[in-house]
Amino acid sequence: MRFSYNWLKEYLAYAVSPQDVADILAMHSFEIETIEKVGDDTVLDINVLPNRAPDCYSHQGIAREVNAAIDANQTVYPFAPAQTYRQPFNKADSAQGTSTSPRIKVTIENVTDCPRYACQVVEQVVVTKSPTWLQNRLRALGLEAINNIVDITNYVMLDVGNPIHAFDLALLKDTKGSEPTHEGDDHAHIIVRRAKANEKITGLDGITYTLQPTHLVIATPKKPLAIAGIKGGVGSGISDNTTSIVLEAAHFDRKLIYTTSRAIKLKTDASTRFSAGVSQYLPSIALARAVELLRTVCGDTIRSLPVVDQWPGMQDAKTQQTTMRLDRAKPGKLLGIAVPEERITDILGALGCKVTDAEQGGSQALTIQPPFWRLDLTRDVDLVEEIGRMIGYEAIPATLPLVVVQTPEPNPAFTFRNELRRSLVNRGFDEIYSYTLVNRDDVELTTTDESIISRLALQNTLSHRHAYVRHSVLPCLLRAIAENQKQCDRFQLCEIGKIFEQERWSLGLAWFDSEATTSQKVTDGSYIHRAPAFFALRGAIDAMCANFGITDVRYESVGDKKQAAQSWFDQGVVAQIVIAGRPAGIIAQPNKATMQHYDIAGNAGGLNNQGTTAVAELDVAVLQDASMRVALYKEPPVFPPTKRDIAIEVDNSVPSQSLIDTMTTAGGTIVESISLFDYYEGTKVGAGKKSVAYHIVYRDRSRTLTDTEVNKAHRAIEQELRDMYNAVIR
Amino acid sequence: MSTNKRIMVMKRTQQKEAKGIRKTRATSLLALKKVAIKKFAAAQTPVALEQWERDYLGRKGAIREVFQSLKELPEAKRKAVAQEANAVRTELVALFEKAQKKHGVGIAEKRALKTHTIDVTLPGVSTPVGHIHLVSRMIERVTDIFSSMGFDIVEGPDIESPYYNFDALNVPADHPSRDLWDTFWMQEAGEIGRAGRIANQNDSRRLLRTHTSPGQVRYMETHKPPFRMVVPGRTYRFENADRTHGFEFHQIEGMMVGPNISAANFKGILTVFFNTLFCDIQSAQGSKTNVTSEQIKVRLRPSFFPFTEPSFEVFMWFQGRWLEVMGAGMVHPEVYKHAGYSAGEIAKIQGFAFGGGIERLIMIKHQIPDMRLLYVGDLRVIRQFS
Repeated sequence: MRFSYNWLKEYLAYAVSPQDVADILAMHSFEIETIEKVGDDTVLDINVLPNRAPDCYSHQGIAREVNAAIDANQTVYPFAPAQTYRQPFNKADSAQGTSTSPRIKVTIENVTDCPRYACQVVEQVVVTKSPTWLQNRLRALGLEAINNIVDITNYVMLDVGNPIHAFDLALLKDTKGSEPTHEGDDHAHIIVRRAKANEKITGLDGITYTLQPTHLVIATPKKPLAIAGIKGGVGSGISDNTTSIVLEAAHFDRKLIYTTSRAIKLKTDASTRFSAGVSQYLPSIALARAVELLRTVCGDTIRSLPVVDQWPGMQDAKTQQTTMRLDRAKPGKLLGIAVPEERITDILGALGCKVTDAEQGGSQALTIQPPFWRLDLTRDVDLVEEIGRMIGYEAIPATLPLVVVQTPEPNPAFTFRNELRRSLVNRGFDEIYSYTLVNRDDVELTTTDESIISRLALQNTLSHRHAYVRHSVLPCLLRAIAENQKQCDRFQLCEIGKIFEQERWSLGLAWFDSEATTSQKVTDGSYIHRAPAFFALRGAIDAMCANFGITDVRYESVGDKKQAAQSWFDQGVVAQIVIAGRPAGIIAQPNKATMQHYDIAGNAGGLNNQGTTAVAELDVAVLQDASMRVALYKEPPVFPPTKRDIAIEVDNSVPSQSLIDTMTTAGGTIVESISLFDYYEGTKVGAGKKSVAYHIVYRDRSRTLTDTEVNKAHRAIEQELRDMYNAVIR
Repeated sequence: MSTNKRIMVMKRTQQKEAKGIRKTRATSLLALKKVAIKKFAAAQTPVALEQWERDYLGRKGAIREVFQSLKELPEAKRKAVAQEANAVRTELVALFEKAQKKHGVGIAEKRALKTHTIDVTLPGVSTPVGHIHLVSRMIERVTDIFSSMGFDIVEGPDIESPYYNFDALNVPADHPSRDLWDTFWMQEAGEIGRAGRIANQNDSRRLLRTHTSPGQVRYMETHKPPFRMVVPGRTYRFENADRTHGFEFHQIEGMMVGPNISAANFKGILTVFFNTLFCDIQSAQGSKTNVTSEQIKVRLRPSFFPFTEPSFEVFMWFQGRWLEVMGAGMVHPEVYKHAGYSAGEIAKIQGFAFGGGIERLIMIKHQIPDMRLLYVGDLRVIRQFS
């Protein structure tokens, strides 16, 4: 918020430069955004903290702050004009209902909405341009100079902190066409009431607002005049013809103004102040200040009538001004420095608090009554903050706490993710971070369930590109592949991040090799070239799992072909990953449509030209659950293994895993391991057939196996393969 | 066999015969030794030495021949001759090794080099090298430091309830202070984890947490003081991204509460934290520039957060300037109350809480100009940091 140095200077008790003011405030109160020379004035942009808005959204407030910071021993500068806030102006100061004075009467319909409404008629005013000094002050702070009356209302708001408004008295009277009379019964009648449903009012900004009963208006019996505390209306504003004005200085319910301002999307200097809260004591001060200025600007010819001050909330305001107890030791203990009592009383005194000894003598506590303008001081810790910042936080030393030694609680999930990341990075994966917020297409890549999608959707969005929380990390990886393949021929990516709707940690993996199909040598079987990235990624997943002692990892074909048909992956190159019997994720080659959508260039070769790219997504919690926590020692085998190979010709549709499962069962307990070493499809075997060969390792941990035993098991395996798969053993 | 080679072989045979080596079997070992030493003295070049080694110590050398001839000797003499031959051999080997040393590299090795030298500057078999993302790295580093000081590491959900994100933290509804956090709201309401203890239970809307501070009350609901903990996590703000702001970013929240935990203690802990966090920068640059060798200092300025009182803006003195790095303060009694602590308990405890941006620390440490660079998955960026 912008403040004029020249203006502040009127209230400063000491001669300090603009830079001094900035430094003092930065150290003790608020951050200074900028200091800027404007004409012969200097404007400080002060970042007033939200809790201080009630007292510091005003020049007098900032000046009080600077004065207190410079010298805690001075007398507090009260509001100008001096002391007016303590005097009730009018006998009708606390009654609910209607109160009147010559020319005007006021009705507050609901006390909670409007605890105080003060207004004053000023006659014989001449509407002209403001004097230059006034115009300059407003312009320096970014306000337009309009005419002397409006300018004065703005000036008072910036000076005192309570927004005020001026109506043309003539326009408040509902008797159209007739000249305003001076008869006593010809009062203008101001009513503070809730708006009617869809009640329309055109603001001074020319915009028509549609109001509801949750909003508050200032009205005559016949028409709304203003949106209370936010904006004046066109029908009652000051014009060149205005000769009598009504100055309004009111207090409205903070929440009501805040919610209304948000609802009608209109934020004004007035609404900002009312939303943050203003002291109920201010309206009369603001009125007095306005009349004082009117006299200065318009001359002594103006005639101000008595104030109508309806203040039904007065009692509440007084009780809200709580008296607090402050333990003398508390400031020192909380801040960690010694704070003598004298310092406490000096500082709080300078800030306008009344400090007395607590009720009984010898008590540890002081009794503190904050000044009426400090709505933020409600409990002892608030006072500690005042003391701390006035002393200056620089005075607080850096001291390490004395504590009992305590080891941190383990966080296995957090630790596991760190280890997982390291394991992947160690085998060549580069870690990426993507935004959780994705677009509709990204969500639809992995789910078409509307009920899920709607629970992923944001209500307010910055862009359609970030309108949903992600359902999967795969779209993020696909996008990163597209981005990086422009510069990089081969890379592996991983991302560990949250996915939704059931919020959980997910691991995404991507394998890209632009030359995968042309240069990669067949290593343990010619099948790999069918989907090089897929098998490379699978190998990496297996290695990662082995890293965590996870051995039970199976890759199962995705059953529901119908669902698969509308999916993102290549129907022929996709597997569900099952870890320790639990579904753990998916690994697949993206299909052509997906590659195109994410702008990933495929290359020739591979199934459907997508052999370059494979992605996988795994549930981190499933991985963690399956990871071996503590391994227990097993005696290394002392008896020798017997190795036999088996070559099988079998239907192409029989998965290798099924063959291994069958052999493991058929061979019995002496089968230690089975591993593929050769794979062949082609002219040497029949169409629709494949030839596969495995090493089988037989071992008994307690003795050396005899040939007879091994032969028996091996024959059993061969027989089972023939029976189950019609296999030819070669 | 080429003509050249054949000539060389012939030459060698002739040489051997000329030296009278053939006769060594019959002559005494002593004579052999004398000749050998004489020849050794004459062998000045590495090539000559090599020849000498072959002649006497090689597979078909003179000493070897003596051993082979042992079986022709009478049983009784064998042992003595063998011992003598061994002694001579040892002596000659010592001579040879000494000379070898004089010539530097082993002669045989030198020759091998000539025929088996590879270009060691050719690339090795490529092993892909992965990189941990800077955000992960910073979170790990920060949590490691706090963990080493005994702070628990806890986490919370990204999708939060207004209760934990605001109400429990003493951020009133319908108050402008809530506007300090521009919030993404989920379209649909729903249950989120544990329901709040106090107030606003009816508000079942869901939001993306705007800070990691909901972790404060969540943690205190299951822990009693004294405690110290940090909450790392991803946070969201409904505001357009620029160089230093993201609609998604990460924060580290921290809290320490006990009977006497003061603002001075907060300064102390943070001073240790920053100096540990940036110690590698200081040692890396300390010798070249003077500014970094000094200790990182922490400065507090007045601030406002509804969940702390007093509240601080935290600056650190780093490489010659004050940088704003965190928000902090002494935990507000209302927050303890919302965590379910009794008035009696609250009266006996005090402590600090803080929250800072992970990306901000990364940008300071690695001089990254735009935080959005961290979220585009560009390997040209990611691979710079290992």
